[in-house]
Amino acid sequence: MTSEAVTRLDSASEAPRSVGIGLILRRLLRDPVAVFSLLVLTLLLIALLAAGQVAPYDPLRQNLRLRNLPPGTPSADEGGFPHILGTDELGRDLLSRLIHGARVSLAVGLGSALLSGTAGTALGIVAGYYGGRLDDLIMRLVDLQMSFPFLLLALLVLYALGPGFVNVILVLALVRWMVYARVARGLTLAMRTSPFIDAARVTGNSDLRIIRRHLLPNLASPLVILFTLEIAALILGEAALSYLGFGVQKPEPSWGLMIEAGKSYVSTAWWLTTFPGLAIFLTALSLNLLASSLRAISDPVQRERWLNAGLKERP
Amino acid sequence: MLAYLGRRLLQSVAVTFVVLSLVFVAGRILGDPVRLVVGIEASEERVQRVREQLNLNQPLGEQYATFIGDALSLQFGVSFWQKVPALPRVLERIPATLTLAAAALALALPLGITLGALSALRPWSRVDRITNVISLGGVSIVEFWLALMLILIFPVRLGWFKTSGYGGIEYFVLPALTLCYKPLGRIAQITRSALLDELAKPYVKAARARGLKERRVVFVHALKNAAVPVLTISGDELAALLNGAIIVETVFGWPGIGRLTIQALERRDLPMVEATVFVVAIFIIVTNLLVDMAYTWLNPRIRFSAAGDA
Amino acid sequence: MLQRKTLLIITLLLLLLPTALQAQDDTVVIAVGIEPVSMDAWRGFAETGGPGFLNAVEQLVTRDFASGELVPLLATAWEWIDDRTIQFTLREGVSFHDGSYFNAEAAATSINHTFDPENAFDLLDFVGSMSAEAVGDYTLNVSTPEPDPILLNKMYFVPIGSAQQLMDDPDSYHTNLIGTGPYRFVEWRSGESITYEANPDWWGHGMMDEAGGEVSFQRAVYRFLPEDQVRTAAVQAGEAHIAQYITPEQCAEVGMSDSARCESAASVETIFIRMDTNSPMLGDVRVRRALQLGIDKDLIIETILGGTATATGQIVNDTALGHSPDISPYPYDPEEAAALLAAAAADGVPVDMPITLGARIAVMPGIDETLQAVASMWGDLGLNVAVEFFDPEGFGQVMLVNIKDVPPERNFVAVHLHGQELLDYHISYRFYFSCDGILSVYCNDEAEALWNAAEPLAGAERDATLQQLNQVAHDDVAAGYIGHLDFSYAVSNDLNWDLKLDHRLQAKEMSPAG
Repeated sequence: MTSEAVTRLDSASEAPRSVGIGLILRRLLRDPVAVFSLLVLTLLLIALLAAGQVAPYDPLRQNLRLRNLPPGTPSADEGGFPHILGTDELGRDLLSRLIHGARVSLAVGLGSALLSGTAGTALGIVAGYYGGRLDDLIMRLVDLQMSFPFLLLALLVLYALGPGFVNVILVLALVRWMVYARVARGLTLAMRTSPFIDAARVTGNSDLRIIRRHLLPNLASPLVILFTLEIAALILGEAALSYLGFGVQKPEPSWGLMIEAGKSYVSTAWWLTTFPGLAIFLTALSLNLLASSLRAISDPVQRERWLNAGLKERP
Repeated sequence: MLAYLGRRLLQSVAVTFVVLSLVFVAGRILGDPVRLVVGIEASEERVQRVREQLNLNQPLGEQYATFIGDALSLQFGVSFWQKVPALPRVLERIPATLTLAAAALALALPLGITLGALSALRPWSRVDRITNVISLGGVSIVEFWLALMLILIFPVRLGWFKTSGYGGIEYFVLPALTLCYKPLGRIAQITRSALLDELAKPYVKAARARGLKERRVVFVHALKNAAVPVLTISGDELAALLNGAIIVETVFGWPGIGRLTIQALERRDLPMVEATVFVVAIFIIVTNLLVDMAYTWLNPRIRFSAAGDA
Repeated sequence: MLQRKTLLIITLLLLLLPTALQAQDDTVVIAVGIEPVSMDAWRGFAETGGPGFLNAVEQLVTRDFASGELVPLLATAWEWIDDRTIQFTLREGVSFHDGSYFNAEAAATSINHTFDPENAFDLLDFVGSMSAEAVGDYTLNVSTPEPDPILLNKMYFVPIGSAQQLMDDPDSYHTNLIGTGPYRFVEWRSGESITYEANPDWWGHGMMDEAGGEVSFQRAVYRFLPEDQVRTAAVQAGEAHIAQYITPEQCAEVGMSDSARCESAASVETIFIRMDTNSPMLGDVRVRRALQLGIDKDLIIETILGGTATATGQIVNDTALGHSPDISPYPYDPEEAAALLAAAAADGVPVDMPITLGARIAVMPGIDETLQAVASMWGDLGLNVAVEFFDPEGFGQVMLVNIKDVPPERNFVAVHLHGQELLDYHISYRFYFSCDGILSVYCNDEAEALWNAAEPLAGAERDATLQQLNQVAHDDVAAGYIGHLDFSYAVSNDLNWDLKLDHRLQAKEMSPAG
């Protein structure tokens, strides 16, 4: 099957063709961007699973005499691992903190994005598909959520549930669900009256089936992209909450918190904010590239263009 | 359409009412505003006196009744801290917020759509990848970092524009640039993905088959159909901007509504919090209404039926 | 293509915009961190609460920092007529900015309004109650309910506003600042700035020494820029002359430029460490001493604070009555600390109790780093320490408790700033160490007796008793200390300004350079 697919690729025919996993993998590996994003995600996975083993230093070990050392400074100990990314405002190794911080940041980013994405999408589809009172109710809830100050909401949850890691995820999900709800509703509204939904309805399909088979696939691509954008926003949002006394407290590392702590040193020690910022960016970028590649693979027409993309540019 | 508008208006009044009630309750649950008004070293008798002055010694039900009565006549009382009526102080801050939000969106919307469309035109090309990096940079950038970098590069090094403050165009450029990057990134990303979906549809194939130029297919036909999610995201970004750009306002010393809200919340200045929430709620509701109306304009098949058909 | 062209044109247009103009010659611009809550004249008692207010309102007396003495301003002379009352002779020929005359009647109205319990202004808590009475056209009696030897010191914190305003339009007291000063208040733009302009009718023209300065600018503008980086950048870009409160790193950076300099001076603020002395762990004096010996103060000051503090072992600095030259800070001695902890543990003191080490966010530059450094140093002693940061309200809830209301298992330690503006140890002791002090988690009967004995005393006697009290508190480790804090400013080289110990930003003390 694989060899068959390869011959078809070489023929570069315009007709959609069936593709096997082998081809897709091979194609992915030939695409430097995809390789890059897979690489970043693999590194993140390693950081998640084995932070203690791969980090060269204890992320909490301070040395005030070695604060704000620039990237590449050799270790103060004989034969020690160099501070590749420099040290932070308390002389802790920045790379080690970045590796340990991945765990908190990814859990918060992915957790709250999944939670808000699921709830928001479901509500948005219901509002757009059924319309009427239900739509009014859900959308006014959106209005309400958007008008209520974030800080006040965060303080309320802190007051009611107390600080903690899970509550951070909860607050962030609570604050962002309406983004998905509005996008899902808008798309559903536009599709609700289209001929193919009408046809599905006439032929006696249940609402649930119509939503699952006909609506969701058409909503998937913007929502998945939105999801990858939200992850970056939520990792940054975690920093704001930590600042208020939620969840992660200093000196525990998280990317958001590291950026927040480097705030006063932007002009004198740029690496304190730049590297955690870069980590968030690379995470969002890799997830985004992977998501749009997977999206391309799952869609016959896009797949065609994606499979051909690299080839066309070559002489 | 008029019936629809009327219904939305009634609902909006209800939403505003609920938001204000929630803020009222939240404000009184969270700590004691009096302690913040009088400061940490105040004596107990002074605390009592201030509590009386602020009418915070009455039963909660009575306080709520007074509050609703006042709110109906657009009175939010006198700011606990500033001792001046709260609503005018909030309204004073509106122009700065509105102009900055408008400038940021006016930059982000066309640039974001253009970037997204350029990507979708040649997906997985080099142009696409570069635009992708630019737009994802927007969503993951740390705002105060960008703001401080702009300040250090332009006014301090090059002597261009102003570091901070509110005034003419030279004060405007840096905050607007900082503020537009995030919506720009989001709009570009959503435009790209919606366009790609649209370009995979049969009618685009048909248009191509008829020999229409690719650029025309993308920019004229597909873009209009892909506009719904782009519009939604732009609406969200506008709403976020109207809520006040707290970080940008703080860094640039911009007298907008975001910093006022934060200060009011930190000081548990309840009348001021209520007045800001009231004003912001009105902005949000109007924005969302406009977005809904734009849906029907873009896609005449979308109809907002009268209530009760569900 | 079209897009690219448009972009190019926009870029070119941006390039052509006029470069940032230098601040105008006749205006001095000062970047401050905090916006005032209102224009109430009494807020002029502190620069952070009333930026530039002393341009518009003046006090009866001011301080000469060369001699440390209180000297005349709106009052020309004074004498104690009994142990509760000072009689002031007021300056003649002075008028307020609204045209009304300054006399004993006006001064009494203003002072009584400031200290009216009904108004409940913060100044009442800060300096305590007082009242004023006009006994002649230019003779004013100010008295306190109880004998108060430092009443004259307190008058330095009482700005005099217009009495006419309080009569005609009392509401405007919160928005319009009317006084007798060298600059008059013009405008407060919420979220932006306060503008003052030169007052041609000021009494002090041509009396540089007596009036403490002269009017050198047409206008003085105080801009609110919450971020220290941006305040510094505003001075570097020539948009402001002074940036208030910048960090040591920024100070070093400004020091390298040609257009600006960094100025620092000691302040009245002390970084201190308050411990719940009723907990089973911190109730033991050996544990408290071990905690002090376990902090490398000099290292924290040298690195995190960039040298902008002086290590100390007491809550007041040497400008205050009751400061003891004999008290030196506990040295850094981790071995001794470990030995003390071991001895305490051997006696059954639970030295493994979890300690919460807390502070208010942004209470001073470098608080985050300082708190974490202390936690780490204590962690090295084998103690179980968790760091926690609070917003102002949250911090108030944990800080604003007397020892009687603290649960013994709380074991909370706070790092906080104490400002001893009144330059008197008695006041500081009342807040933080007396048995009923509203912020006190300490109670020591021997010390309390000394504190009570010092209250009615004045002069050298008061000083001696307070020093004795200070020593007792030190030996018992009533609190820990890191240092007395300095504050730094970026100052444009276009400006002559000599920074004084009160850290007031008065335009009359500034003039264009060269």
